[in-house]
Amino acid sequence: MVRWMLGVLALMLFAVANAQSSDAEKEAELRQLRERVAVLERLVQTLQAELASLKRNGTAPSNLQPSAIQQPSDEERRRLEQELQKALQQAPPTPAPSPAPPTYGAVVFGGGAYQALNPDTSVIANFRTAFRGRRPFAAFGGSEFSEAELAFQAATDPFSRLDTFIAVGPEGAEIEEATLSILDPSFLRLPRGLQFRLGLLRAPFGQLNNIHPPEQPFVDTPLVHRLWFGHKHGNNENGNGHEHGDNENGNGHEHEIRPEQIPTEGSFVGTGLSLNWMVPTGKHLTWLTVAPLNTHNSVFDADTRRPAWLFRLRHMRELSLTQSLNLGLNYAFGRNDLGKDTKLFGVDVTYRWRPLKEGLYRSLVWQTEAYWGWRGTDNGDVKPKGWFTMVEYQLSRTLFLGARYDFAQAPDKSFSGRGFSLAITLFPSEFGRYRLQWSRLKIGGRTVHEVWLQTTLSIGVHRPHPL
Amino acid sequence: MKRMLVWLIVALVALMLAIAPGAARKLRVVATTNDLKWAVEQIGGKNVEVVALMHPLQNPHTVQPRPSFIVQLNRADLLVRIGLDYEEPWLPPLVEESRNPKIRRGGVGDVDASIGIPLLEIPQGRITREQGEVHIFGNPHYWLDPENMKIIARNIANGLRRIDPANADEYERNLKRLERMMDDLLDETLKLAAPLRGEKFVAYHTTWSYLANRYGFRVIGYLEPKPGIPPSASHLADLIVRMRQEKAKVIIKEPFYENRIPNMVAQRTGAKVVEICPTVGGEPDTETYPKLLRHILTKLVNAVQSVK
Repeated sequence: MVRWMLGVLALMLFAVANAQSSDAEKEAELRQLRERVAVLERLVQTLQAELASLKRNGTAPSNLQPSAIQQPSDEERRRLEQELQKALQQAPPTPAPSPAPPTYGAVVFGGGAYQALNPDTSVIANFRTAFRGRRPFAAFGGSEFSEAELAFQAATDPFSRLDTFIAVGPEGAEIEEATLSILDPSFLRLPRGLQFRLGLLRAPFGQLNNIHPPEQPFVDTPLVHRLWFGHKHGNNENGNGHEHGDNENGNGHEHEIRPEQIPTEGSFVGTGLSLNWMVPTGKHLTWLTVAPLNTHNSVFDADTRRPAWLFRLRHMRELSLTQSLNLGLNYAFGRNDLGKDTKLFGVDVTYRWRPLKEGLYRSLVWQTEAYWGWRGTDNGDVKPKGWFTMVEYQLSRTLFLGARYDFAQAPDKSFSGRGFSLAITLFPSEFGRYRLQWSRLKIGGRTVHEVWLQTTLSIGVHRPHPL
Repeated sequence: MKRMLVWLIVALVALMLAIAPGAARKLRVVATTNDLKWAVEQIGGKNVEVVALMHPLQNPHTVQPRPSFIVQLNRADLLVRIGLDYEEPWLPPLVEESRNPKIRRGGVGDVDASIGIPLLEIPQGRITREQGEVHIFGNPHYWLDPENMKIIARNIANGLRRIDPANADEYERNLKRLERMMDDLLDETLKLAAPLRGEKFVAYHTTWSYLANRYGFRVIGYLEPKPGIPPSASHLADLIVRMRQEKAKVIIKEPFYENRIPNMVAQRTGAKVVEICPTVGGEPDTETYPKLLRHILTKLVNAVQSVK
């Protein structure tokens, strides 16, 4: 009996122990399941969010794109690239005749989804009014001028982009810049440190010349730009009879030239090619640019057979987290309107300061450029020079104060001019700007005061200049 | 002159071709912010060296690019960015100038950390500049939520796996570790931030929406009338009336915004101004993301308790 009872007890104990162990297993299993559910829950949330993102952007996230396929190591990649390059250099096999391609109606390519691929479009409206006289506001016989700059900018493919700027004013429309930039020349089997620009370019000469006039810190461009690059040969821009090359020795300018005869803006532009190489110089940044350009202005009269050659070495270095310095050396040579050699040499220095914490409210940019020219004439070389220095200080979040002093001799040294300008600029937002500028100009022995009002408004997308 | 020119070009080409790619090394990662840098370091571990472009005390909307940005981007194997339109004004031109196809949009080394983030404040209807410098894809200040940090980390792990598949397992392990860390951090900070639940705040900019959403407080108004537009007198007057009505007693401002206007509003409402940097490393004892989150929430809790 006792044995029988002990047997029953042992069985019960075994059953309880077994139940306990199975409970523990179940609990562990349950915990595992809970964890898996939590993981799946997070996965579902992530997928839902990714789906929402896809719907929002109409694009696949980069981590879902084919690039997610495992990449080979650098060594393997280089070997593979060499193999492929060899394979590609071999003559292609004769292709098998393919069926006629399907024809697509306009409907196929006219869908709304393709709107997303439209270029970034913007309009910068630049309204300017000048009051000129011997004293400020003494004479209102000034000129009025306004123009709109239309910009169309987009990547054309993974390797290049196209930027087109068209200026539209009372005198008509003019292409200011139309540039195809090859940003990744790997398809040409060239090193990736190179970039090309083709088309109608802003010449790589000096720092300020890279900036479109409506975005510059003064209403007008410095005198040296206006006198040297503001006129085009055979093109009487302002209808005021100021043309070059109308005199055998190139010295046909009247000394008593009126300020109105000098264009308000001058930019060194030309058609051709610009090759830019990022020189590996450690932690600082150095760019070397070479550009053969077809350009017509008061300095050069170059064409495609005899282009003007421009060289620019630009070095940018950080002085601290808040300060940087940009140094440029520029050299150009080509033919002038007399068919003689002309050389230009330029130096530019730009200093920038923007504090870290107060960067929204304070900043300073100081920029100086000096140019020297050697212009060949029948009577020997003429050596004009010109320079400007300007500073812009940010007084508050929306208010900027600028001052500029500039000097320039005409390319044929027939006269010289100097000027001093003060400008106060209000930016109520990133896309609107209002400016009041006073300038005192002394040109060809005559002093003139100018008061400018400028309103610049931008709609659409406009890409800022990086540095 | 012609001969000199030819020699110059030949010399340049020879110099360019002479520059051979470097030997085996750590992966170079450029992150746009310190928060992303911290996340990359967590996932990449010893395989990565990371630099952040923006200084934590800089206003992200007015970053003045420095020359070293282009140098760093040129050498980068991976670029990790906040995405949306957060770095839009300054980063795309720098990426183009960097001549590094890997990090261009859609490139193998481009990581948009915002992919998969459940976004807040996505503008509805037609977007115009009337709305100020509005973030057209939604609020991009999403990193101040540990749940979002897990998504950021997954995006980074995906990016690292793409460029370094040999160490994929390690990145996955590190990701799991970070996810657990974020779960623990969330548990801890929800307790820490319990006094903030239901509280009302005023902020300078829309930086705090995700934090408020996670920890249950509300931002009832902003000192900026619209994103990126300086405060005007009429807007501030409306805001002061609203603060009085809703008994909002704390104004949050980032270090890169001026003090005058927040103090002016505080004087008229009896509110307290609390200055908080939303980025890792902007203040003492915030050199990691968990420390940053604890620091921010502690400051807010202290501010709320001090005005009660």
